Amino acid sequence: MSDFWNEFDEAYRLFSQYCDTNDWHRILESIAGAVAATKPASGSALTVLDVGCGNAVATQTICEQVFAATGWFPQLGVVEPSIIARERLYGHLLVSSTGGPMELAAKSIEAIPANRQFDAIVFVHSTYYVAHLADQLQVLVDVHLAPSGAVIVLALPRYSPFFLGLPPLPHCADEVHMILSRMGLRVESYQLRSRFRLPTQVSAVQWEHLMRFMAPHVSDLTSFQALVKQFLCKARVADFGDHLLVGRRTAS
Amino acid sequence: MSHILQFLLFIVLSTAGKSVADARGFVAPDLSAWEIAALLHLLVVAFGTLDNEKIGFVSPQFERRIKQVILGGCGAFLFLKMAIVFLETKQRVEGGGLQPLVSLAPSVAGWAHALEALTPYVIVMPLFFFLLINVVLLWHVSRQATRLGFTDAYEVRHLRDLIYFVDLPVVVPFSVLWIYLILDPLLTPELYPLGMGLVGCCLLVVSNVAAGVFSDQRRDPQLKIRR
Repeated sequence: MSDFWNEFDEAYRLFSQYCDTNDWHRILESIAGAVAATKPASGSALTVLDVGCGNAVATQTICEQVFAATGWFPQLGVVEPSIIARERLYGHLLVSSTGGPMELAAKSIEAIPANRQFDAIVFVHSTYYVAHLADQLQVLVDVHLAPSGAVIVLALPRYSPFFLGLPPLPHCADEVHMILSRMGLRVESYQLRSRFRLPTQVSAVQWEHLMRFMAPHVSDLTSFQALVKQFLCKARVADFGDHLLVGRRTAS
Repeated sequence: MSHILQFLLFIVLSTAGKSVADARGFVAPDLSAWEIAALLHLLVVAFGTLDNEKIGFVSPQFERRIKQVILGGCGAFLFLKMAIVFLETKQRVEGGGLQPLVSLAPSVAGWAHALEALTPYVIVMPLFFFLLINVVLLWHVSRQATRLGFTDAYEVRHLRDLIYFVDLPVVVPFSVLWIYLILDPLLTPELYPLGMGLVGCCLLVVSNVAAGVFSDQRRDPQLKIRR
């Protein structure tokens, strides 16, 4: 299992090298904006739960951006099933016992104490890897979402060029939108630019890493290369068009 | 440059078509080749822009709807123009006279008159249509961006620039000219549609080329690799 996460991490890092850094930071800023908008009126501290935070680099950036926008550094809980990623996240986030924001690091949603509520529950490209997502979201909303809180999900749409026309990952933005709506949440959706550029020179090892991350079911490197080129424009760029979904309870 | 070349290609093709028809005894309206080329160019520019661009911050449902409206609108303008050209085309008869290509039944004469009244304005409708589309887009994108805490997003600036530098510079002079033509007591009724057609064609071509260039600039990725 650890080999899988190591390989996944390597492949992801190579892939993210070729993603537009400005777009990515604007995406994180957008998530931070949505989180900041959930700030409780009472003036109490903002609480955020990041589900599937990985090594928490993005989580830390989002918290810093929320701080920049509101003057409040959020109190943080994270859920990360991978032991390797959980070990790494302590390198990026300070725990509350040392004055840092992280108060909770759980390995699963079930492991979150029942009395804990959060103003924002965030998924950053992690819904694809959650089994029984609808049930898990129901638990999160019923038990752990503060009354004025929001579920904030960043996910790819089913028709994103990221999938190269192959069957998409489960729980894409379209499906999550449907689940949140069925749960009675009012969902706002935003399309955000998320561009990827293939370098002019790509080595065989790099192609393999990219294939492992983007199309693990394709075994033939030549077919993968042809697919990638088909989905890129002349400048070797594709916009994956990430969707940001913000689900809030409707006023009853 | 490619946008100008595209238009030149369309004008050459439509003029050739008009000449061939003329040689066979079918006389199309004076400006029909220019007008059809300009509207075809509009459709191509709109297709190219919509195909390659994702508009930041818009909701996916809104984007789908607005794209449908744009393509439907451009298609409708082209269809309307072609219908008018067809109705106004005349056939040469023996003795050098001209007779209408189609003679309409009295029951549809009302529709034909309505189309006739619209004729001078079809070519300028897209100018107002795109101003309206861009204003609606600007309103939606500003609202969405503000919700996420972006008060001056570049998407908003881009749309504002598009309105200021592409839409308004064609719509305002046309509107002023239109008022002038209405108020000018010396203008003959025959000259009015011709003047409108000429000015409309020029403005639409300028607007298409400018919109295409604007869209290309925006598409230029200026990517920065994450460090």
